Amino acid sequence: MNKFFYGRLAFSNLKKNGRLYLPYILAAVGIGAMYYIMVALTGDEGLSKMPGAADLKMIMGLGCGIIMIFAVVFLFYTNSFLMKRRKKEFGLFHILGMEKRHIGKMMFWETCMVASLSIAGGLAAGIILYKLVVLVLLRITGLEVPFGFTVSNSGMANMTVSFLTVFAVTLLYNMLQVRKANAIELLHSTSQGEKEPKTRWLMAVLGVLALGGGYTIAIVIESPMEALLMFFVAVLLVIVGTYCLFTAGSIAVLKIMRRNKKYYYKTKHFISVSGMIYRMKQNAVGLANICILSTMVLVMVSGTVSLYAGVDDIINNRYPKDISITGYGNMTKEQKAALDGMFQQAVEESSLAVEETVRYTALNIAVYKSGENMNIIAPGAVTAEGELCALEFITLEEYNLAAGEQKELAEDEILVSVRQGKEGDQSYSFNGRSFRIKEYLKDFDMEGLDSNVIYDGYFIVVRDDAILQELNEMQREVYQNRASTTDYYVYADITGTAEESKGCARRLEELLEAYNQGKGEEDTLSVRIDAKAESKDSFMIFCGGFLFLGVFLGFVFLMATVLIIYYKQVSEGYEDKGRFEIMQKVGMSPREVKASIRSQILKVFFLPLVMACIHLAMAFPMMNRLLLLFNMKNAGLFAICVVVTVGVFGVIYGIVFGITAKAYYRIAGERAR
Amino acid sequence: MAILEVNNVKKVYTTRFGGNQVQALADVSFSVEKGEYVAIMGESGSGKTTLLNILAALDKATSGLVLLNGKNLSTLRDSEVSAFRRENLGFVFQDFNLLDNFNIQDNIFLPLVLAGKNYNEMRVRLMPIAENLGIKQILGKYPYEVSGGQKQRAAVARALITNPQLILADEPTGALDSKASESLLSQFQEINGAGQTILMVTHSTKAASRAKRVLFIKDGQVFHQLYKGSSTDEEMYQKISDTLTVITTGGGRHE
Repeated sequence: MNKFFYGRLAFSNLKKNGRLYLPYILAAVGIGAMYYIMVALTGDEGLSKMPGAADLKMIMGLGCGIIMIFAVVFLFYTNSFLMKRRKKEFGLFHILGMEKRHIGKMMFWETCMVASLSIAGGLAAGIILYKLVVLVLLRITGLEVPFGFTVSNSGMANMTVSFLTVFAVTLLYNMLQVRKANAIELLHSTSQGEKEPKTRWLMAVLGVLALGGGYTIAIVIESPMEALLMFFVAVLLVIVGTYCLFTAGSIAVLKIMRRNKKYYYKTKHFISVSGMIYRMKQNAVGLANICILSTMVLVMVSGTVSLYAGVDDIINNRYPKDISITGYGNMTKEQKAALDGMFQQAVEESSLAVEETVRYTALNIAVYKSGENMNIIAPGAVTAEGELCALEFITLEEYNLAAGEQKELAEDEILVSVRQGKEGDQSYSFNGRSFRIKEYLKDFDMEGLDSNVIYDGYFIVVRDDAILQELNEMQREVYQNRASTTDYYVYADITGTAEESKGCARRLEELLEAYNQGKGEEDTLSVRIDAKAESKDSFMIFCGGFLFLGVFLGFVFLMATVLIIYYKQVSEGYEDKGRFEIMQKVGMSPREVKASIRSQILKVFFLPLVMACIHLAMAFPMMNRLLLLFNMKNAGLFAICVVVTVGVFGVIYGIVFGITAKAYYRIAGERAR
Repeated sequence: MAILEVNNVKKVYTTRFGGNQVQALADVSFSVEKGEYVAIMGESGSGKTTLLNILAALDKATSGLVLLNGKNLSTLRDSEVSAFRRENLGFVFQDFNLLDNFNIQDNIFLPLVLAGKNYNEMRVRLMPIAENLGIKQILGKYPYEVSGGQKQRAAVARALITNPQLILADEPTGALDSKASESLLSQFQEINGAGQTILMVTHSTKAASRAKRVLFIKDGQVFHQLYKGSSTDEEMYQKISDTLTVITTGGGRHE
């Protein structure tokens, strides 16, 4: 026999099954290209030289892993679909006299061709798109473009090896499948009578419970820290619930509809309800997959888009002024003055001017708040009761100076500003030392560096330094060498551009270094300087990186969704073809048949999208709280981002549906007139 | 009166590529009276199925006239064809054509549901038919759960339930074993005895021998016809066999 025989046979097989294989290869090319790009980005030398690129690289590394896992799952899924469709063909070859090892040989060549096409295509597309992707990435992270057209050797090697492995494993799996089956089974595997699905009530109920649980967690949880922990639990519950509901719940609902004779025996419902029962059985898992993938795309993209869009808000929340200076470690008056002096000098040397300054000294203590009791206990102690809160104490003098007020306090009175938490307590008691809350301060804008929203936070004004020291002693006793110090904060707005304020901060650092030179540990100043502009840059890289990853993975998931929809449509087309013909013979007009089938497909394929939107709506409160961890407090902006993302996704989904529906009608309507 | 009149029907197919013309029906004329049981016989490729498709309004004749109950099928508008078929014709096919996503009862109800009948009326109509055909026990089952004979009886029930003018059967015994064939044919005779007009296309001599009249088609023309009259099934079987021998040995046209 001609030694190229199997190769030629394999080639003609692929050509003949082009309608099935082309999307498979295209998807493999797409995922391959994306994987290459991710790997190449992770190893890009130009990128690693950028400031702040470490974050970016970590994010990209995460992306590599996700895409690889996804590629494996996805190629396997599609492959099993292809095998199902082609079993009859293999059976025929077998009956015509090919032994199983010959079929194996043929499959080997087929896989070789598909693999080489996919990998070569993926590399080509990846290399070509790489530059574009890098430009986009740099644009959204605000980094400079330092490099030209590069090809990553390690990326190519990594991608080739990984995908070859995946293809080899699918080949092995296919060969095993063929080995196990006999010819008759192969011949008839596509036309086996499908049993009507049973109603699995337990599973349906479980689905409702899981989904309800997930939703409840998402809605009820208030603290961002808990949200972070419970997020994965909620996600897991929702995924389980989605699978159960799609597989068991849908059939249960449809069967209830069928039991209602008055409803069921109407032309419209009769065909569609029974058709849906049949369809749901085969498609439930696929639809659940689409639903979950869609939800992931929506959550990821809307979350990252809103983070990115909210960068200014976030930065302003975190850094109320252009320059933030924190002096740690119970600085003396002289040291504070020295620091102020150096700041003034730095500003002047940068030929800028200070517009507005807020200065104060504050003591930060972490407590467990239980009702009105603020318990200062070492974190993690068994006696810890209540909720962890961050307290920031300043003296009345500092407060009046900073806020420009003339308030007065008695010895056992305090003023409180709630950053996050509840107002309404009459007094606070710190390990037994009790203070009456004279007033809740509104609009007190002194949120600084430590304004985190992970824990509840209270800003407390005490009468004088003596009380502050008393509290300080209390926490020193508890925390020992981990006790916090009274810190000195300076927040200032200065004139000049973002670049100039960065320069000013840098100058101040130099001055500090010079000041600290040759001083003993006691006299050294430990100071942190943040220029808003600089923080914004690094935050842009961070958010931009996430946005990039979100959109990038969004694309991958979208591609998978598209492909699943396409294959579903094609396989349904083949199956519905027979039904199409029978219904027409029995007296249904082609138009009626088409309309009824169209409405079924429409329902079946838009169900996951609707479900995904419900998931997203339910996840909204939780996501909003998670975004708080990033200081993203603008819920309105987030809502807009969600709506826009859903809109764009819906349009793409609709277009994909339209295109694949055409493929469906081409197949199903081939002979039906 | 004649329920079905077929006058000089001709059907020419043009192949999709190359424009070759294939004549499936040359010139077919016959008529079917109310209450008749007619079998049409012919070898593969003789044009039987084409004829049946034209009678079923699934296909249109190239020329000639088909009148069902005085209504010219070729003048039916596309939108009317399906309803017309539903109301006037019942079909029984070789491969049953039951939908596997419906149980037997729902398969039988299908044409009535399409016609917008309500459930109670459907039940009332179904019961005597199911009783006669002996399928009452399997109404709740699915096609893949019952035997071929039962499937075909379900298909007959589906054809009967609309009270059609004419039942068109296309090789109804083609996929059945001899026992199931025998019982189906008896049922056809019973149905016909109750006044139902039946037109059956077959190449089984046995099936044809049960009909009251047999038409033979060869090369797209009605070649010969036999009336059963008072002959027994066995005599009719012999006559049909003789005729088929003449046809296959290439005897000239005689009548």
